[in-house]
Amino acid sequence: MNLTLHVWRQKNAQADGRLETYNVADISPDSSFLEMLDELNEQLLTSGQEPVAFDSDCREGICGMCSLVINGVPHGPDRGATVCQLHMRKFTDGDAIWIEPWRAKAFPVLKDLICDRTSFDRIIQAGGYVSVNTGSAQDANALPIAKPAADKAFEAATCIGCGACVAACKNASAMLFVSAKVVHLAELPQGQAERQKRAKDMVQQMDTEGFGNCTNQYECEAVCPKEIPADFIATLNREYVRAGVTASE
Amino acid sequence: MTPRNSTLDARVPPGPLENKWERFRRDMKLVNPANKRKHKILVVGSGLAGGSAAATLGELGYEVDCFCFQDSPRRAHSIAAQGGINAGKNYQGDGDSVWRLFYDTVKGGDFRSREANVHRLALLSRNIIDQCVAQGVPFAREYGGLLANRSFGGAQVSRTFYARGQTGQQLLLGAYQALERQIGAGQVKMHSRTELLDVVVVDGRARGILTRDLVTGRVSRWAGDAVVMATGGYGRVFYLSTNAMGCNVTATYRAYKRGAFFANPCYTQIHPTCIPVHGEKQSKLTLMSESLRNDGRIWVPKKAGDNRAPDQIPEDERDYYLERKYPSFGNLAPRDIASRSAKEACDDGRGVGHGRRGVFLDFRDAIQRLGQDEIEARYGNLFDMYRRITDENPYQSPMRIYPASHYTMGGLWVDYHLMSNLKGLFVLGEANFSDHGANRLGASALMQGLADGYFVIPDTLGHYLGGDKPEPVSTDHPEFKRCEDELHDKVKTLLSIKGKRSPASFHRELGLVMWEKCGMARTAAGLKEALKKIPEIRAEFWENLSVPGTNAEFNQSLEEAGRVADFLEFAELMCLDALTRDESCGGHFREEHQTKDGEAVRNDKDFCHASAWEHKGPGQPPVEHREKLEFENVALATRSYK
Amino acid sequence: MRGLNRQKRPNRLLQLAGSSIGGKWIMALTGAFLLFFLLMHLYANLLVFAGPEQLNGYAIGLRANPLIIWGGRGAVLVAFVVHIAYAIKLTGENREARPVSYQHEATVQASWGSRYMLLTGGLIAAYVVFHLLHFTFHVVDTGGMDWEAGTIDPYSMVLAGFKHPLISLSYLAAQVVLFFHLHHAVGSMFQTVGLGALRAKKAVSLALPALICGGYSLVPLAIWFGVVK
Repeated sequence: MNLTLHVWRQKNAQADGRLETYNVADISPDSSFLEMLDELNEQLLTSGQEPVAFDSDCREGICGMCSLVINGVPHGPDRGATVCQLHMRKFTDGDAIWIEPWRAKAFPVLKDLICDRTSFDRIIQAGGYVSVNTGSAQDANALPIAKPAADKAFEAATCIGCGACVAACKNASAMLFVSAKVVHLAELPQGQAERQKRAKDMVQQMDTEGFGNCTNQYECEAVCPKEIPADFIATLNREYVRAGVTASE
Repeated sequence: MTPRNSTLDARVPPGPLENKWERFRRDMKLVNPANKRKHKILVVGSGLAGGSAAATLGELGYEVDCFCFQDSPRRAHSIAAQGGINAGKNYQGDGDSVWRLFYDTVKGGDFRSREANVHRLALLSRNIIDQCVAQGVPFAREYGGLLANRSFGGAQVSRTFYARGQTGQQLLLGAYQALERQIGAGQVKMHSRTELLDVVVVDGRARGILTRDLVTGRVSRWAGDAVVMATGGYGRVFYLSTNAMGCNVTATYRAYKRGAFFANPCYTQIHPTCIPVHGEKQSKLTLMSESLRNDGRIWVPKKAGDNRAPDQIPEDERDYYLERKYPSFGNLAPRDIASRSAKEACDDGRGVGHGRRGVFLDFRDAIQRLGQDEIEARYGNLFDMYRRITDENPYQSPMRIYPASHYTMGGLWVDYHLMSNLKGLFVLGEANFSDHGANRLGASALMQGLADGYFVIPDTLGHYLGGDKPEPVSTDHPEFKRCEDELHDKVKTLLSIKGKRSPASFHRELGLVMWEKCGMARTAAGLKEALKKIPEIRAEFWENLSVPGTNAEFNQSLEEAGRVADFLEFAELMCLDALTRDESCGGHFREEHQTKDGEAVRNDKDFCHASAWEHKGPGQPPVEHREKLEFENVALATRSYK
Repeated sequence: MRGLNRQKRPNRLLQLAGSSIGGKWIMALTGAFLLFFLLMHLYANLLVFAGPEQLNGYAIGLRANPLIIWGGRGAVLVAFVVHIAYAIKLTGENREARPVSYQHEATVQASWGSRYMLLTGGLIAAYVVFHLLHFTFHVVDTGGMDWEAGTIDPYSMVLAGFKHPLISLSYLAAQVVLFFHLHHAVGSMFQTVGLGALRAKKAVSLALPALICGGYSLVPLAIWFGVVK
């Protein structure tokens, strides 16, 4: 396959960026999208040019590192998959492809297609955990958990923290990410003690980081590689207001 | 080259096996709570082992700095483990026990691991599950609300806890959340996108590290009372592997170059059920859970060079080779056996797919027996993954699989305290060599990482600090400067070669050599060939490498070049170890040592030891130290899966 | 603790109102009230079909009770102002949240209505002003009211007003705009207050706006086609 790529190039966080156009030839349709970019980089490297910087690590759709907006859609056209799981057979010979980084104030671009997502870590720091020190746990089977609750918690916990929800949201809101963690822990008995404080603190941190406001457009859910449903956001809305009205502190 | 064993003291506590850990805890030194915050601990790596260690040390009150090269600790490659985590809970009442888990692990490791460590691992496995459940890890449950278990990797008891196909992810998120809690509390300082580039040794103790900020390129010095290294394995020495793109040997190899012994580098695990290579430009292989082998049947055509579509090949022209060779275990034969058999079939020219490097994994009979719905319920996500990657429908035509490098049992040598021969350097998880011997059982990697991080290191590190009371060291110590100067010289060289080839191209070339000569099956002749070839690749690397840009910026080519440079040296050590270990055991199969049925033949008389290699400086051959493995509690048996 | 916002704000409700989710709730609650008003207004409009006595009687009844009419007007006004003010605040924050936009924009599943809420909202607000100038303040006079006599005859006023093609057409156009606004608003409301599964929301968010906008449109259509004389 021969393709024209319009790739966002930006030297560093301070510099202005621009789209650059590259051509790649003889791409195997069995290649993954990232392997196609590897080939572009190989081409650039051998001619002494700077390769395109992009994040990727596990390349099997679970680490959440890869983060490309392809033709305006985070993770590209395949639903329920990260961009490392996208294969070139989804494109047609001769296609022009636009490749951009996640765009949000809370995800500043560091270089080319790489952005800084530590704001997500800080949201987790604000309350996305159960406060249990190592060694103080009771026997794992001492507390039965109904299977539906355990399954729902699991569904929420599948979030890989890639940030596609933010990248896709017209307002760069992080509600799907936050709701996934809040729902995960709110469903489990272990998460009850800090349930209200968690919802409050995580939302407050989300706001502080400069994410936008949710306007219920569900773009997040459409691009989520783990297909986390926007219903969780509804739950978060409820959890948050309940916490805001009744929390003891 | 005469091996020495004088310097290796494993510090295994005396007394009966069952009481060794208690015995250690009884005698261990403690650090006063008020003094803990005066100790700075440098934790390198934030996966299951590093993340759980940093979190727990933070909870205890130590001042922790934690480093990872990814953008967040949540991305560590522990996340990719699918199958599950073993624990000797005996919740199913099916006869499991700490002893049985211990025994299975020692046997699975082909009697090349340290008994005392493995027993401790089995003992602590139970606490891990308790801890993780308390953190909110959503393990699979039964309708009654209790935890579900399954049998994994041919184990005779159901002791594997799992969270659908994402156990690694869920466990890592548990550790990550505990870690973030400590970061939020100010107990741990996290340095992401930061790579370790050297270990600083002062007076024979690991007293600090040098790191490079991957975003700005800035090199920083860190001094501490101990360095905890949990940087994973070196499977990417084969270039193509199931490891993440960033996995590398740099941290452990640079510690090795500063005096830490590297043990058993030839022990690598090749996983049998991966999706085969599709072409030259491939960057990475994808593993599919070996639970597929529960219902899938593995076969190749009987005739070499058979190009017919699988459904055109009649039953009597198919060779279900695992069922034929291992009638009692059949398709569930251990990983190394299943992998090697696939290689043999392909070496015979009977492989299928691209380059004839693949075998069929066929669900036709299972679908007929159980119905497509049931197969979908059991393996739906794996089938979807296969379809996405290969564009083939595995419900209609058999999957093609091939083995791939997956895990490395070798690593830095550590004693019972998980401390390397370099005092103050602790090594956890896949980065050390201790618990899996020559082969790792399924669902044991997660167990080891978390046992080391949550439960072992907090005690053994405290014992070290409380007993040895290391003197304060500052980053102004001349040794820091010396190491930093060396580092700058190396980086400058990498940038100044200005050749024509990318770091990846050298990595790929090295990988091919390693896969061919030091992969699933090894021979003395092949290893010698590799030992000749690797220095040639390395020489060209230093002459014809292209790394554009500068050091003072985000420069992924420079990162990669540094890692490949280390692989190019490490590969030689690996081949040397494989050559020296003149026996077959576990994942290390020397073709010279096999029965006429192709079974591995161990040599317990001469090789019942761990080989720990000492670096002797550039151009000098490394020196082998041997830790004799004493088996006081289990009898050395020959594995048989017939 | 870099970046962690640990400062305590004095008032819990103020804190709620200032947060992103609090803002959503305020939009939803004021919107819900305005929706209630639309339904009440629709009820009154449909009295046209019951004849002049019914409609005029309803109007006279309302006016006889100043608490209801002025209380109601005040509440609607407050809801309007808060709804619009928050819309501006939240939209401003949303624009700030993405300082550099995509060069190649795409939308996967966001509805048309959801993407142009500020536009449709602005058009509705503008139309409401015109509507008030017309039927309430009579600045735009289309006849039908006998001011000298001082009788209250909304029935004649409505009939006279909608006889004007421009008035009717702009009214119908406003209903279309309102439909798009409500289509997103109704589903959003349920989502924001954490009610219902998404599928149910999608159904209600079509049915309720269709009922309201269809109901409103019936009046000018009926007048034009001579069903109401």
